[in-house]
Amino acid sequence: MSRIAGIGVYIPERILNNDELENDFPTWSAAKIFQKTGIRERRVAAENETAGDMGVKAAESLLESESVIREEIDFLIFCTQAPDYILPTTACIIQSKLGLSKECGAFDINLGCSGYVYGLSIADALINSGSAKNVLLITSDTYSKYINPKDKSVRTLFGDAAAATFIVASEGKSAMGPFVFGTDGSGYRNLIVETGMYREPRTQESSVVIEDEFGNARSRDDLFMNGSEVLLFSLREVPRSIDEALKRRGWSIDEVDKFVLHQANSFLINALTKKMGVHKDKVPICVEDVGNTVSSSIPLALRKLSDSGEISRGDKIILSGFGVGYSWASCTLIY
Amino acid sequence: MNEEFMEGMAEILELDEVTADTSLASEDVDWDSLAIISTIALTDTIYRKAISGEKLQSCQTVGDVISLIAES
Repeated sequence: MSRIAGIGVYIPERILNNDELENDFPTWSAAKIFQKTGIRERRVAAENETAGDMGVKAAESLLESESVIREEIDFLIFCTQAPDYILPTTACIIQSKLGLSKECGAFDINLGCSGYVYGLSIADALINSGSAKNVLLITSDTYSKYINPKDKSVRTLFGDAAAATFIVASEGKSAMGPFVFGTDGSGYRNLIVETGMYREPRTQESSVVIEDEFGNARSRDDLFMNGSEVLLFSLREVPRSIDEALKRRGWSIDEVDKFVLHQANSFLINALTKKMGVHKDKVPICVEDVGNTVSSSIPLALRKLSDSGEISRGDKIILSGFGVGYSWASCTLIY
Repeated sequence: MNEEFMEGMAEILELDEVTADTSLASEDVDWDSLAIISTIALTDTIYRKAISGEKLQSCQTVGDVISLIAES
């Protein structure tokens, strides 16, 4: 068994708040944005600040504050959808920047909102198999770099951030697992950056900015999200995934202390809370200051809840990450 | 006509109340992406049914939305 031993976080300096969005999109007032999404501010990485850079900062923050010994880290997993280079692997560069041992394994995983739970499952498997003892899982993304400034739908929701989670063998009660996974590639078009890689390289034509039926403008080189379809997907798959995780662990839904879901926005979390039939107090919403930080949304929430005392060691938690792919994963966790 | 649903629709459309004839295309109503996904969530909560955002978009009245739900 393995457990989460510490979480370090990093958020970039530049703030995009609702007032600025209201200026750019007069039909949505700052108040309405907050009311509908639960988000007041989100962070935007600097122009020359990559997901890799942010990941290093989150890791340094973790190494500074927790009793994590740098030299003992023997595996590094970097989860991002905005790598520094097509190749080499960004995790290798991070190993070097952090001064980790050369005995350390390292690789990137390309996942979005499901990335943290998948990452934990890999760390857990490495530890359980005896292949690693001290795993550093860094999640980091810069969706802002894919977003067209004229697309209010996604600009309102996504924020940049990174988190570094330290995973070690479990000694006492704290433990994670089992993990349940899900994939439905038929939904791939509903959260996508269409061009720029091998399926469809960028062209003059793909860069043309077109306004959609809601007044949002983007080109096919930019991030596109079909909110309706992603909502339908979440309502369809997430409660079932959580039920399966509970079943495999032998927990009843009532004994769960907190459901820490991917922090997409308050609207989606409330819809899932209603669907699961659990009390709102058990399903925290932590989007207000950071928005949807993709694979970092769960660790940022865990860190916030832990700092405020809303979760404590020994608490029974469900984690569920879901989104782009479509990809999803849930697990039980004793914090 | 489910009362809870109609109240939910009124809240989504930011009107005091709605009927089947309430127009979604009128100037007082913002039938935007937020309204559409709110309606999807409301429909899931009350009717436990999934309806498509694309079809919702082409609805002209609240009555059209109700028919869409009935058909699915």
